[in-house]
Amino acid sequence: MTIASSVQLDMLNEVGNIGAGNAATSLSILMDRKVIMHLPWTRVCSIEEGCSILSRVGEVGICVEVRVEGNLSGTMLLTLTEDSAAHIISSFGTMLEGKTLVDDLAQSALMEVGNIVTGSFITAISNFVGETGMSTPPILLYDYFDAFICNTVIARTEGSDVVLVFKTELEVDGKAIFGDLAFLPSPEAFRAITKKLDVAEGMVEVNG
Amino acid sequence: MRLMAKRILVVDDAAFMRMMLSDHLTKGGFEVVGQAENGLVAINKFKELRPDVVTMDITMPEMDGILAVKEIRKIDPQARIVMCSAMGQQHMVMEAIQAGARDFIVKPFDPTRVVQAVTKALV
Ligand SMILES: [Mg+2]
Repeated sequence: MTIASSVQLDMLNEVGNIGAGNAATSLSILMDRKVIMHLPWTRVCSIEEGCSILSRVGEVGICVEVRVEGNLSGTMLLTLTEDSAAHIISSFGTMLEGKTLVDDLAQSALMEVGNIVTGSFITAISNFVGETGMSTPPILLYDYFDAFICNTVIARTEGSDVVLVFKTELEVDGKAIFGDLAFLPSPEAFRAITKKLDVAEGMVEVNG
Repeated sequence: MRLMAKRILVVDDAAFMRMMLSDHLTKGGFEVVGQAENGLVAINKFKELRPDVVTMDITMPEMDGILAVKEIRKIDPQARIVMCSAMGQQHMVMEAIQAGARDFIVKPFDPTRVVQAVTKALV
Protein backbone atom coordinates (compact mmCIF):
# COMPACT_ATOMS: atom_id res chain seq x y z
CA MET A 1 0.00 0.00 0.00
CA THR A 2 1.86 3.07 -1.19
CA ILE A 3 1.19 6.38 -2.84
CA ALA A 4 3.01 5.79 -6.06
CA SER A 5 2.14 8.43 -8.59
CA SER A 6 3.58 11.90 -8.72
CA VAL A 7 0.07 13.22 -9.31
CA GLN A 8 -0.95 11.85 -5.91
CA LEU A 9 2.11 13.29 -4.21
CA ASP A 10 1.32 16.66 -5.77
CA MET A 11 -2.22 16.48 -4.42
CA LEU A 12 -0.94 15.60 -0.96
CA ASN A 13 1.52 18.47 -1.17
CA GLU A 14 -1.36 20.77 -2.09
CA VAL A 15 -3.27 19.60 0.99
CA GLY A 16 -0.14 20.31 3.02
CA ASN A 17 0.09 23.79 1.49
CA ILE A 18 -3.37 24.61 2.80
CA GLY A 19 -2.28 23.39 6.24
CA ALA A 20 0.90 25.46 6.07
CA GLY A 21 -1.01 28.59 5.09
CA ASN A 22 -3.44 28.19 7.97
CA ALA A 23 -0.62 27.40 10.39
CA ALA A 24 1.29 30.55 9.37
CA THR A 25 -1.79 32.75 9.80
CA SER A 26 -2.51 31.28 13.23
CA LEU A 27 1.09 31.53 14.41
CA SER A 28 1.17 35.19 13.31
CA ILE A 29 -1.81 35.90 15.55
CA LEU A 30 -0.38 33.89 18.47
CA MET A 31 3.03 35.54 18.39
CA ASP A 32 2.03 38.87 16.91
CA ARG A 33 4.93 38.46 14.48
CA LYS A 34 5.31 37.96 10.76
CA VAL A 35 5.28 34.22 10.14
CA ILE A 36 5.75 32.54 6.76
CA MET A 37 5.54 28.81 6.07
CA HIS A 38 6.51 27.17 2.79
CA LEU A 39 6.17 23.52 1.90
CA PRO A 40 8.88 22.54 -0.61
CA TRP A 41 7.91 18.87 -0.73
CA THR A 42 5.83 16.09 0.76
CA ARG A 43 7.04 12.53 0.90
CA VAL A 44 5.51 9.18 1.79
CA CYS A 45 8.29 7.24 3.51
CA SER A 46 8.97 3.95 5.19
CA ILE A 47 9.66 4.01 8.94
CA GLU A 48 13.36 3.67 8.22
CA GLU A 49 13.43 6.59 5.81
CA GLY A 50 11.21 8.69 8.08
CA CYS A 51 13.55 8.07 11.02
CA SER A 52 16.59 9.14 9.07
CA ILE A 53 14.94 12.38 7.94
CA LEU A 54 13.64 13.29 11.41
CA SER A 55 16.58 12.29 13.59
CA ARG A 56 19.10 15.01 12.82
CA VAL A 57 22.12 13.12 14.13
CA GLY A 58 24.02 14.89 16.89
CA GLU A 59 21.47 17.71 17.17
CA VAL A 60 19.45 18.54 20.26
CA GLY A 61 15.91 19.76 19.93
CA ILE A 62 12.28 19.74 20.81
CA CYS A 63 9.60 17.40 19.55
CA VAL A 64 5.92 18.11 20.12
CA GLU A 65 3.91 14.93 19.78
CA VAL A 66 0.15 15.11 19.26
CA ARG A 67 -1.98 11.99 19.21
CA VAL A 68 -4.94 12.20 16.80
CA GLU A 69 -8.15 10.25 17.33
CA GLY A 70 -11.11 9.51 15.07
CA ASN A 71 -11.17 8.06 11.55
CA LEU A 72 -7.91 9.86 10.76
CA SER A 73 -6.15 8.53 13.83
CA GLY A 74 -2.39 8.61 14.14
CA THR A 75 0.34 10.78 15.55
CA MET A 76 1.65 14.15 14.42
CA LEU A 77 5.22 15.14 15.24
CA LEU A 78 6.67 18.62 15.02
CA THR A 79 10.40 18.85 15.61
CA LEU A 80 12.34 22.07 16.18
CA THR A 81 16.09 22.41 16.59
CA GLU A 82 17.20 23.93 19.89
CA ASP A 83 18.18 27.27 18.31
CA SER A 84 14.91 27.50 16.42
CA ALA A 85 12.82 26.68 19.46
CA ALA A 86 14.73 29.34 21.41
CA HIS A 87 14.04 31.88 18.67
CA ILE A 88 10.33 31.10 18.83
CA ILE A 89 10.38 31.61 22.61
CA SER A 90 12.13 34.96 22.24
CA SER A 91 9.56 35.98 19.60
CA PHE A 92 6.86 35.98 22.26
CA GLY A 93 8.43 39.15 23.62
CA THR A 94 7.86 40.31 27.17
CA MET A 95 5.50 37.46 27.96
CA LEU A 96 8.33 34.93 27.96
CA GLU A 97 11.19 37.28 28.74
CA GLY A 98 14.16 35.50 30.29
CA LYS A 99 12.54 32.08 29.85
CA THR A 100 14.58 29.21 28.44
CA LEU A 101 13.62 25.85 26.95
CA VAL A 102 13.66 24.16 30.36
CA ASP A 103 11.01 26.50 31.80
CA ASP A 104 7.48 25.12 32.03
CA LEU A 105 5.92 28.24 30.58
CA ALA A 106 8.28 28.23 27.58
CA GLN A 107 7.53 24.55 26.99
CA SER A 108 3.82 25.28 27.30
CA ALA A 109 4.17 27.95 24.59
CA LEU A 110 6.02 25.52 22.32
CA MET A 111 3.30 22.92 22.86
CA GLU A 112 0.77 25.52 21.76
CA VAL A 113 2.85 26.19 18.66
CA GLY A 114 2.83 22.43 18.10
CA ASN A 115 -0.94 22.31 18.60
CA ILE A 116 -1.43 25.01 16.01
CA VAL A 117 0.88 23.59 13.36
CA THR A 118 -0.22 19.96 13.72
CA GLY A 119 -3.88 20.99 14.06
CA SER A 120 -3.71 23.02 10.84
CA PHE A 121 -2.36 20.04 8.92
CA ILE A 122 -4.83 17.60 10.44
CA THR A 123 -7.69 19.94 9.57
CA ALA A 124 -6.42 20.24 5.98
CA ILE A 125 -6.13 16.44 5.67
CA SER A 126 -9.58 15.97 7.28
CA ASN A 127 -11.19 18.38 4.86
CA PHE A 128 -9.57 16.67 1.90
CA VAL A 129 -10.36 13.10 2.94
CA GLY A 130 -13.76 13.89 4.44
CA GLU A 131 -12.99 12.07 7.71
CA THR A 132 -12.45 13.55 11.14
CA GLY A 133 -9.28 13.66 13.19
CA MET A 134 -9.36 15.09 16.70
CA SER A 135 -6.18 16.21 18.43
CA THR A 136 -5.45 15.27 22.03
CA PRO A 137 -3.22 17.23 24.47
CA PRO A 138 0.40 17.44 23.30
CA ILE A 139 3.51 15.89 24.81
CA LEU A 140 6.90 17.61 24.63
CA LEU A 141 10.24 15.84 24.35
CA TYR A 142 13.56 17.67 24.69
CA ASP A 143 16.73 15.71 23.96
CA TYR A 144 19.14 14.63 21.23
CA PHE A 145 16.86 13.78 18.30
CA ASP A 146 18.67 10.52 17.57
CA ALA A 147 18.06 9.46 21.18
CA PHE A 148 14.28 9.36 20.87
CA ILE A 149 12.90 10.06 17.38
CA CYS A 150 13.20 6.53 15.97
CA ASN A 151 11.73 4.97 19.10
CA THR A 152 8.84 7.41 18.94
CA VAL A 153 8.21 6.77 15.25
CA ILE A 154 8.35 2.99 15.67
CA ALA A 155 6.10 3.10 18.73
CA ARG A 156 3.48 5.29 17.07
CA THR A 157 3.13 3.83 13.56
CA GLU A 158 0.82 1.11 14.90
CA GLY A 159 1.74 -1.55 12.40
CA SER A 160 1.74 0.60 9.29
CA ASP A 161 5.12 1.19 7.69
CA VAL A 162 4.19 4.72 6.64
CA VAL A 163 5.52 8.14 7.60
CA LEU A 164 4.20 11.21 5.78
CA VAL A 165 6.86 13.89 5.91
CA PHE A 166 5.86 17.46 5.11
CA LYS A 167 9.04 19.42 4.45
CA THR A 168 8.21 22.74 6.04
CA GLU A 169 10.22 25.94 5.84
CA LEU A 170 9.12 28.26 8.57
CA GLU A 171 10.21 31.86 9.00
CA VAL A 172 9.52 33.94 12.09
CA ASP A 173 10.32 37.63 11.77
CA GLY A 174 12.62 36.89 8.85
CA LYS A 175 14.62 34.22 10.67
CA ALA A 176 14.50 30.65 9.34
CA ILE A 177 13.19 28.02 11.75
CA PHE A 178 14.58 24.51 11.33
CA GLY A 179 12.48 21.47 12.03
CA ASP A 180 10.26 18.84 10.44
CA LEU A 181 6.64 17.86 10.43
CA ALA A 182 5.46 14.29 10.11
CA PHE A 183 2.20 12.39 10.30
CA LEU A 184 2.25 8.74 11.31
CA PRO A 185 -1.15 7.52 10.18
CA SER A 186 -2.79 4.39 11.56
CA PRO A 187 -3.38 1.72 8.88
CA GLU A 188 -7.07 2.76 8.72
CA ALA A 189 -6.21 6.44 8.36
CA PHE A 190 -3.67 5.71 5.64
CA ARG A 191 -6.24 3.56 3.81
CA ALA A 192 -8.72 6.46 3.92
CA ILE A 193 -6.11 8.88 2.57
CA THR A 194 -5.00 6.61 -0.30
CA LYS A 195 -8.60 5.81 -1.21
CA LYS A 196 -9.38 9.51 -1.49
CA LEU A 197 -6.20 10.13 -3.51
CA ASP A 198 -7.14 7.32 -5.91
CA VAL A 199 -10.58 8.82 -6.47
CA ALA A 200 -9.16 12.33 -6.85
CA GLU A 201 -6.51 11.12 -9.31
CA GLY A 202 -9.21 9.41 -11.37
CA MET A 203 -11.03 12.69 -11.57
CA VAL A 204 -7.87 14.52 -12.61
CA GLU A 205 -7.41 12.02 -15.46
CA VAL A 206 -11.02 12.27 -16.61
CA ASN A 207 -10.92 16.06 -16.59
CA GLY A 208 -7.53 16.20 -17.79
CA MET B 1 -13.99 53.05 35.63
CA ARG B 2 -16.27 50.27 36.67
CA LEU B 3 -16.74 49.81 40.39
CA MET B 4 -16.66 46.04 40.22
CA ALA B 5 -14.89 44.28 37.39
CA LYS B 6 -16.65 41.13 36.21
CA ARG B 7 -15.01 37.98 37.57
CA ILE B 8 -13.66 35.41 35.13
CA LEU B 9 -12.49 31.80 35.54
CA VAL B 10 -10.01 30.78 32.83
CA VAL B 11 -9.84 27.08 31.97
CA ASP B 12 -7.12 25.65 29.70
CA ASP B 13 -4.64 22.81 30.11
CA ALA B 14 -1.81 24.93 28.69
CA ALA B 15 -0.26 27.26 31.26
CA PHE B 16 0.86 29.55 28.48
CA MET B 17 -2.65 29.88 27.04
CA ARG B 18 -4.07 30.63 30.51
CA MET B 19 -1.49 33.36 30.88
CA MET B 20 -2.26 34.87 27.45
CA LEU B 21 -6.02 34.77 27.98
CA SER B 22 -5.71 36.26 31.46
CA ASP B 23 -3.57 39.01 30.01
CA HIS B 24 -6.13 39.84 27.29
CA LEU B 25 -8.99 39.77 29.80
CA THR B 26 -7.24 41.90 32.40
CA LYS B 27 -6.35 44.49 29.78
CA GLY B 28 -10.00 44.40 28.71
CA GLY B 29 -11.12 45.38 32.20
CA PHE B 30 -12.04 41.99 33.65
CA GLU B 31 -10.75 40.38 36.81
CA VAL B 32 -9.39 36.85 36.40
CA VAL B 33 -10.29 35.28 39.74
CA GLY B 34 -9.10 31.78 39.02
CA GLN B 35 -7.52 29.37 36.58
CA ALA B 36 -8.03 25.66 36.03
CA GLU B 37 -6.00 23.16 33.99
CA ASN B 38 -8.71 20.59 33.34
CA GLY B 39 -12.48 20.07 33.56
CA LEU B 40 -12.45 18.52 37.02
CA VAL B 41 -10.49 21.39 38.54
CA ALA B 42 -12.79 23.79 36.65
CA ILE B 43 -15.90 22.34 38.30
CA ASN B 44 -14.40 22.71 41.76
CA LYS B 45 -13.19 26.23 41.09
CA PHE B 46 -16.60 27.14 39.70
CA LYS B 47 -18.29 25.97 42.91
CA GLU B 48 -15.76 27.81 45.04
CA LEU B 49 -15.52 31.09 43.09
CA ARG B 50 -18.89 31.46 41.35
CA PRO B 51 -17.38 33.53 38.51
CA ASP B 52 -19.48 35.71 36.19
CA VAL B 53 -18.02 34.03 33.11
CA VAL B 54 -15.97 30.90 32.48
CA THR B 55 -13.70 30.59 29.42
CA MET B 56 -13.48 26.88 28.65
CA ASP B 57 -10.88 25.05 26.56
CA ILE B 58 -12.12 21.89 24.81
CA THR B 59 -9.15 19.54 24.58
CA MET B 60 -7.84 18.85 28.10
CA PRO B 61 -6.66 15.81 30.04
CA GLU B 62 -8.69 14.31 32.94
CA MET B 63 -11.97 15.87 31.82
CA ASP B 64 -12.58 17.74 28.56
CA GLY B 65 -14.35 21.06 28.24
CA ILE B 66 -17.59 19.68 26.79
CA LEU B 67 -18.22 17.45 29.79
CA ALA B 68 -17.21 20.25 32.14
CA VAL B 69 -19.81 22.58 30.55
CA LYS B 70 -22.51 19.96 31.10
CA GLU B 71 -21.49 19.49 34.75
CA ILE B 72 -21.21 23.22 35.47
CA ARG B 73 -24.64 23.85 33.93
CA LYS B 74 -26.04 21.20 36.28
CA ILE B 75 -24.62 23.12 39.24
CA ASP B 76 -25.85 26.46 37.87
CA PRO B 77 -28.23 26.42 34.87
CA GLN B 78 -27.49 30.15 34.40
CA ALA B 79 -23.70 29.71 34.24
CA ARG B 80 -22.15 31.78 31.45
CA ILE B 81 -19.49 29.89 29.55
CA VAL B 82 -17.46 30.85 26.47
CA MET B 83 -15.73 27.99 24.66
CA CYS B 84 -12.14 28.26 23.46
CA SER B 85 -11.73 25.96 20.51
CA ALA B 86 -8.95 25.09 18.10
CA MET B 87 -9.45 25.00 14.38
CA GLY B 88 -11.36 21.96 13.17
CA GLN B 89 -13.42 21.55 16.35
CA GLN B 90 -16.67 22.96 14.93
CA HIS B 91 -18.68 19.86 15.79
CA MET B 92 -17.45 19.99 19.38
CA VAL B 93 -18.31 23.68 19.62
CA MET B 94 -21.84 22.83 18.48
CA GLU B 95 -22.11 20.20 21.20
CA ALA B 96 -20.96 22.72 23.79
CA ILE B 97 -23.46 25.34 22.59
CA GLN B 98 -26.22 22.73 22.86
CA ALA B 99 -25.01 22.02 26.39
CA GLY B 100 -25.46 25.72 27.21
CA ALA B 101 -22.25 27.52 26.27
CA ARG B 102 -22.97 31.09 25.12
CA ASP B 103 -20.31 31.66 22.48
CA PHE B 104 -16.91 30.50 21.33
CA ILE B 105 -13.54 31.97 20.46
CA VAL B 106 -11.03 30.26 18.20
CA LYS B 107 -7.36 29.77 19.06
CA PRO B 108 -5.04 31.56 18.69
CA PHE B 109 -6.85 34.36 20.49
CA ASP B 110 -7.39 37.77 19.02
CA PRO B 111 -7.50 40.08 22.09
CA THR B 112 -10.41 42.15 20.76
CA ARG B 113 -12.48 39.07 20.00
CA VAL B 114 -11.83 37.64 23.49
CA VAL B 115 -13.09 40.77 25.22
CA GLN B 116 -16.05 41.00 22.83
CA ALA B 117 -17.15 37.39 23.41
CA VAL B 118 -16.90 37.62 27.20
CA THR B 119 -18.72 40.96 27.21
CA LYS B 120 -21.48 39.51 25.04
CA ALA B 121 -21.82 36.47 27.30
CA LEU B 122 -22.61 38.80 30.23
CA VAL B 123 -25.62 40.36 28.52
MG1 LIG C 1 -6.12 22.35 25.40
